[in-house]
Amino acid sequence: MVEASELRQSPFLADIPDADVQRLAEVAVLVHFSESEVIFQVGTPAKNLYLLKSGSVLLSFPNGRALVIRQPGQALGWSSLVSPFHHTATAVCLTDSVLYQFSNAELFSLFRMDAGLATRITAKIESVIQERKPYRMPRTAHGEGESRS
Amino acid sequence: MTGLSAIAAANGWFITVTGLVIVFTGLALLAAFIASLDKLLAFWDRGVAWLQRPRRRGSSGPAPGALAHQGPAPLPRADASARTVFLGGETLEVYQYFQWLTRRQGDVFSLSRLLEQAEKRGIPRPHFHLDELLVLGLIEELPGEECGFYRWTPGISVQPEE
Repeated sequence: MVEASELRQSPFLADIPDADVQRLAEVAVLVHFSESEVIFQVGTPAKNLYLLKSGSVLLSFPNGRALVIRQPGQALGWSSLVSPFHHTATAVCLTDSVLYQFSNAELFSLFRMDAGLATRITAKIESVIQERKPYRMPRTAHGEGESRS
Repeated sequence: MTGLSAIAAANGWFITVTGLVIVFTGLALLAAFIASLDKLLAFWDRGVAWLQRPRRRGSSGPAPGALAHQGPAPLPRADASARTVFLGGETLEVYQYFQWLTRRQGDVFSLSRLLEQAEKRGIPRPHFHLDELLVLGLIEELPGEECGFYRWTPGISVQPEE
């Protein structure tokens, strides 16, 4: 569990009501990763959603594209909330990083009890999926990507 | 005749000392060679770069060892304002390694592939230094359909720290 006030500062949860943030804080775990440590691998079962607290994480997609996550509050591991619950990218820490970890089982339990929270979090996840959609596209311009979607 | 007197009679002591001198001289020469290997390789790289200079006009740039006082090879869209970044010690070394590794991929490169190659070659702390180069703006992400791929930011000159 983490402090709700601490979690409140995450931009990802900026417009989430305090009561919901409190519930999320109760299931959140603060996890520390070292530089070069892999948080999750592409293709592996996705069981946790992460929000970056500090540090820098590289999201690498199988097509060769990569995205650097450096802004606190940015989400990783959205695949844990979306079928087929397998990671679409590999997350590796560029520097020592601290993240809030939410087990998808705990989140689904919360969603079952509170449909409003489910809707709000799902909408946020949807925007993250859309934002990262171009990174999952096969590379065409230079013909060098592995063309794996 | 046996024992020490036999050794002395057959020049055994002289042979032993000669053997020791030969072995230790060999080891000392080998140690000196290994200690100066980085200088020799840098000299070799400068030589190769010098030899290839007339033929590589407009191509991907000089050899990695010759990059200490130069910026990355400029790309066609050089619209960034000229800027100098000072790098020191290990960062400068890794910057040069990265330049060499990315040259194999072309002007546009994949960060995950770069890290993979850097790890294979035992480059020190590639993740940390990659982040450093990104924060310093030496590496930039391409826009549009090429998002997620990166290039050396044009118009930036890298200088070794004083």
